[in-house]
Amino acid sequence: MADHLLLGFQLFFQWKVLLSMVSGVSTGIVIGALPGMTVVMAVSLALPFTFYMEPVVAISFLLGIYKAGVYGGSISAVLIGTPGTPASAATIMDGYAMTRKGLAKKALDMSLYASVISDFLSDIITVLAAIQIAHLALMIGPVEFFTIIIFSLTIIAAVSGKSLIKGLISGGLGLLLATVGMDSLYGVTRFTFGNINLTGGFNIIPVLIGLFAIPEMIMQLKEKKLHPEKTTIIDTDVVVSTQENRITWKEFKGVFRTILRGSIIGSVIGIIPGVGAAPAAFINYSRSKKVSKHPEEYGSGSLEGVAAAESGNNGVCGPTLIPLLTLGIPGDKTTAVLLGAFVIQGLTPGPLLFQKHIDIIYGIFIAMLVINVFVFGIGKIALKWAARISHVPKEIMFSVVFILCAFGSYASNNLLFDVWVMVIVGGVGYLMLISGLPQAPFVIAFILSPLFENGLRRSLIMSQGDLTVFVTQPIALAFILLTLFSVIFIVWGKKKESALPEEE
Amino acid sequence: MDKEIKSNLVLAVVLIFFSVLLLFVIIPSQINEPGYIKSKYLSPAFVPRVFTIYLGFIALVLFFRSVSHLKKSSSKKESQSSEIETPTEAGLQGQWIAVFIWISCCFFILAVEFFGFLIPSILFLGALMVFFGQKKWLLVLSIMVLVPLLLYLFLHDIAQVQFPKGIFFS
Repeated sequence: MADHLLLGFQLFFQWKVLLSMVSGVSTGIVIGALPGMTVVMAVSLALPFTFYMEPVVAISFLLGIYKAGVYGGSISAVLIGTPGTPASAATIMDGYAMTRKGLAKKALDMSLYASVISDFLSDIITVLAAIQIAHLALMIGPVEFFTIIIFSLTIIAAVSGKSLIKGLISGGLGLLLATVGMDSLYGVTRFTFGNINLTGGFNIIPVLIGLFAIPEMIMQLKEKKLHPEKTTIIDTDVVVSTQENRITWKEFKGVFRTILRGSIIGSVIGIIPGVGAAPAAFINYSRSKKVSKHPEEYGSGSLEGVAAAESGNNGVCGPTLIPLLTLGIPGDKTTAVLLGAFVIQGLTPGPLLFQKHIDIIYGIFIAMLVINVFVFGIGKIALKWAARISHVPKEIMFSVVFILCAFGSYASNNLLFDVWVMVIVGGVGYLMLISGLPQAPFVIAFILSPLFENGLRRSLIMSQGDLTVFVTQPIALAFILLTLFSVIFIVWGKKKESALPEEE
Repeated sequence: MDKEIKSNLVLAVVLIFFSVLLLFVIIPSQINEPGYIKSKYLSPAFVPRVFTIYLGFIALVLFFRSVSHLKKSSSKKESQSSEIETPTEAGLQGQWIAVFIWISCCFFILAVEFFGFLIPSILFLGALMVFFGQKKWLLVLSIMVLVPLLLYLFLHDIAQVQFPKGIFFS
């Protein structure tokens, strides 16, 4: 391993690699922070630029965009309550609440620290155990995958807020909305009402933007019209001191365990092809809330909540590459584009890559680790300016946010239909907001619904319609039991919660 | 409290109606189930049906809970002096402002269909800022021109996004 590392270092220590990482990270942060611009889009757009680069330079450039893009999504989630990328949807719950309390800088700093540390730790896991972990990934078939998704759906309860029933309703609506479009197995169209734009289903970007950004824009502009004296989004009139806006060592120590957990959960989710960063963020958020000493603070501006969401989504970045590098299987759209980058370089990811080009593999591994340092440095510089956005007058900020969202929704698919979707979902989101239906369960369900359906149907094809397959496979059975325990725990907890005021 | 229970009741009734409509009208008419699929679990309508039944069931739970809470609340009211809840003027005004913002967003998209992205974005951004109280005209002017223009140039020239030119310009 030491020899391989040395070879990797030789490939890595070139000014071209460092320059490609800096430009990749800078591009990733900017694109990630723009609502509507996804990491996949950024990596795809950058792909042609890598044609004439050397392999390590090219992959470092794309990895820089990928990792920084996943982190960058948290900037807009914290500052304007709109996820830059789907992965940062969970960050809104506490990040934006902190901004409204005047603690934008603290939230941004925490999201940066949690993202970088979690990403770095999961990268170490990737470097040390890529091949061993790849075998684990092979054990996850459709049956196991389906039970993992079922277990993930229990997160809905954790993000339901005051009313579990309303959270479940919101989740149900998300599950249903995701079934619109072509059925993945037989190509049959569902709920399209003859509209060709609906054949591919609803694009997640306009749905996310519509659900989070438009209702917030309506609320804030409405507030501005009714109370013109409240100029910025910061709720309180109390001036937050610079000291209060800094993360203390004690606070950092308090959330370190959460970041560590996020890194582990992210790594496990990352190796499973097709799940992605958004569910990882929600799973870690839910888990951290359950074990937290202050679960009541979650959703109303908890520093730990920001750390949980961000460490969960960034923990996925490194391990997502494991199935790609070791088995040649791209786990998601971004790794599929990365697979293209490898092929362009004349490299075929898989076991042979480790035998023939181990120097390149180690060069990439070193780049993966070093990119985190650049994300930290460039992120820290960007945040100095970004935090000031919370002091921009509401009418300027939310008018600009709308234009950003309209451009972003259009650019995600080059369809004006998506801008309509954004505005219509925005109207529905506003109605949800005023009727007390939480938005987070809707998003989780919308993201997990296609995975749920594909997992279920693939499992049933394999088992020829036999439902017992979900309890006869050991990993699947373990997740079914975990789900059952989780549901019992949630119902018991909610009953206890609702009984408290009566006892008092 | 009473208002919240009533709004929950309305929500439950709407969702029950929606679920029934989906289950018996929309799913049969909008999802064509090919005859060659033998297992009902593999049918393209299976999962939407399961989700609809789930939604209807949860809505029913919300309905019965709301009814029982309403009964409890009305029996409490009989023993206490009744307070008539009326929507405040600011609340109503707020809802009208919300409707106005939403409709103006729709008009913005319609304008994009006719004039392309750039001109409606510049005008809409300026109008929003002025309507919601920004009085520094130089600031308004610079933001309304620079933001859409830079976004347009970045997405069009760097990200290669093809924007609609609008019916009047194509």
